[in-house]
Amino acid sequence: MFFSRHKALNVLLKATVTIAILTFITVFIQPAFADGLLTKIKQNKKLVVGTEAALEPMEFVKDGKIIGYGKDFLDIIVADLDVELVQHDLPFQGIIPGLLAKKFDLVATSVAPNADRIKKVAYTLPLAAVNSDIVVLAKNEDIKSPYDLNGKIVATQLSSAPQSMLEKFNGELKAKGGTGYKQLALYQAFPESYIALANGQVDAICIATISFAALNKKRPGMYKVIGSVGDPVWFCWLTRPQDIDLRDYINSMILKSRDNGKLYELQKKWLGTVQEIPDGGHLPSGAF
Amino acid sequence: MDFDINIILKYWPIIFEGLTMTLFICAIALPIGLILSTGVCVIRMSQNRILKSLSIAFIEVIRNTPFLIQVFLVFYVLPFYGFRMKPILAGICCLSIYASVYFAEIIRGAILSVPKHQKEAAQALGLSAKQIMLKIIFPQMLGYLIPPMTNMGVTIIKESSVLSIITVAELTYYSQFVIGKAFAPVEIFSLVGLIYWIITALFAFGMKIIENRYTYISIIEKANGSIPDCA
Amino acid sequence: MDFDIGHLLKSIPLMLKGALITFEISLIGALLGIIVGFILVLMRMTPLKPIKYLAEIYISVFRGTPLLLQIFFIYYALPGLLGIDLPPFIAGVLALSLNSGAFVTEVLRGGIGVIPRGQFEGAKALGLKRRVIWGRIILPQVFIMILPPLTNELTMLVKASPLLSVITVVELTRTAQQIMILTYRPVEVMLAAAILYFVICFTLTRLTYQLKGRLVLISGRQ
Repeated sequence: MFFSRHKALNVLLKATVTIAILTFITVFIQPAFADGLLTKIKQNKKLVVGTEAALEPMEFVKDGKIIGYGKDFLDIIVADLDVELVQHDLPFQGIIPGLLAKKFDLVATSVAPNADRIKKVAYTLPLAAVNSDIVVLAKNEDIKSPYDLNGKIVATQLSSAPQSMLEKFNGELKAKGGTGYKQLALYQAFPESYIALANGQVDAICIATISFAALNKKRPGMYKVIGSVGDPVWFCWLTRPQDIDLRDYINSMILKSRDNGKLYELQKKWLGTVQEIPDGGHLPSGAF
Repeated sequence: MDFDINIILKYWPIIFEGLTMTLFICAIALPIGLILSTGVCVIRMSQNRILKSLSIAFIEVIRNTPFLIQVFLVFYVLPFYGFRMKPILAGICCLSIYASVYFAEIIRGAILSVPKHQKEAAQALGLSAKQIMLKIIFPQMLGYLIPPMTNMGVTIIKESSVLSIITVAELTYYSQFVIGKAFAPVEIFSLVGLIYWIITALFAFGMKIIENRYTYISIIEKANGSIPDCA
Repeated sequence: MDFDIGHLLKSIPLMLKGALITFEISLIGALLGIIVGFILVLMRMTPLKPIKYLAEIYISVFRGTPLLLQIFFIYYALPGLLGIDLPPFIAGVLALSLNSGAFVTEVLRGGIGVIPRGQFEGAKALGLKRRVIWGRIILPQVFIMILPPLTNELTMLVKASPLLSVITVVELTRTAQQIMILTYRPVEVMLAAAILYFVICFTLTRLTYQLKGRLVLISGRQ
């Protein structure tokens, strides 16, 4: 290219150009301080939402439509705001970039908080709490409890709540003198891990309890739960840090629906059980 | 939006591990693909009609389906029929096969690009098939071979990112891993994009050196008058 | 988990809509990509150094970085930079075109380079205008010659289209994933998707070879 003889200079030049371009871009993408996203939504009569519709029964696709516990609650919000709902379905890796780049106003999909994440996005109150269960094939006699997972291949979805629980548990296994997992395999979506479990590629998977209920309904008797790891995880929605007005509005709607019983109705319908939703304090310190 | 350099510093070791894996996979898949491709090309150009048809079918199936789907089928379907492979092995196999098919077509195109009369003249002069291939066709086809090969090599390197789907812990896999933890897509995608850019630039640069070297040799041969330029 | 051919056949009609989107994306992306590639070739042929270098950087970046990153950049970062909003389909096709153009320019350059110098010189000696030399003599030959590599590029676009699922374009692979999640039958669904992709790519390839045959007949050359 420019300096054909000096390979290192060539690479350095490209690196400099890239960093220059990227700096230029990031400097120019400043969030516009409008007079509140919530106001804008009401004015435009449109709420644009991003969802990964891949977690039954929270949000999933059936007959080309997104349905689930999260969707029903979203309908309550939309009715209260009296706006049109535009819901995008995309894989999880597009969710956060999409939110931060203002492709949608709200992320209405089940996301768990962690210390790093709360610094980048604003979390709502939770809609549900889930345990991370360890699931194996029903005919598996090898693994009877999570402590049998030493030297085994465990799988879950990339960036999911069970992933952080699994990682913590691996630390526990090693602290107790075990070797830890043979491999922690992270798939793009949970169903891929179900298949991997079914065909023997992995020995165990870690999924939300509610997911197992749905899985067991589809494939009765094929899988079994042998225990859970970690603590219950909250499933919340997300907004951008500067859209606190929208986040607070959703929180108020969650509390309202909880107090008038509507939320528990939805929980019974989709989750099969009722879960307590706290007034707050569910996020690590330093959250928006 | 601030560019948080701390995220890069904090997670760089993980990204580096992914980089190592990507380099490892490509360093194995590319040569194996090249070796396989010569075999595929020979069968493809053989006189035997059955072998030729089989090879054409094989080439067409691999060329006309997305790599992602091929990987998925090898990793998820085969185990149901008894072939269970570690993700890395499955990934390298898929990448090698994919590469071999495309390389084979490039080699075939390069061979066919050498003017026909060269082969005919050589045959008229009584040279054996092996001599024709080695001394007449091969040196001339190199010029048609290396640029498209470089192109394909770069494609294969980037295609390796698809292997993250079947949990091969390479660069793209770890980039998603870190973004999931820290919610910092801009920083990580910039870093990973830059890394891929550097890898492919170095690869293309290396191939360019090889190309120039062989072109030089061809020029020398032409200058000595052994192969007239018939354009 | 047994292989159920019924499921495979049942899922094909559901995926036809996605297949149509894939087809649209790839075709428009390829056509725009040829235009982009052509512009790049012109940029590389100018004596003006800055323009030439700009083209070189562009090609290096788009050839050297993963398409997924490019798609993200164009869909998420570019609108903020330019102040316009790009719907997913347009952003996706744009990303594919810009990416494809970087490869097409190499093919075009190779095609032009193979034309014997004598043709350029002869045409100039005859006093033909630049536009005529290029439009009537060089480019028709180039076009015929590069049709096979261009077909390859089109097929590559079809196979790259699954990445657009990440920016909400519901094409074939995304549709297949949705069905897979619902029925938990990736084997049957993925095979169906593979068959559909094969049919699309194979048809495109055959059509283009027919096209090449017709062009060869028209121009009367080998």
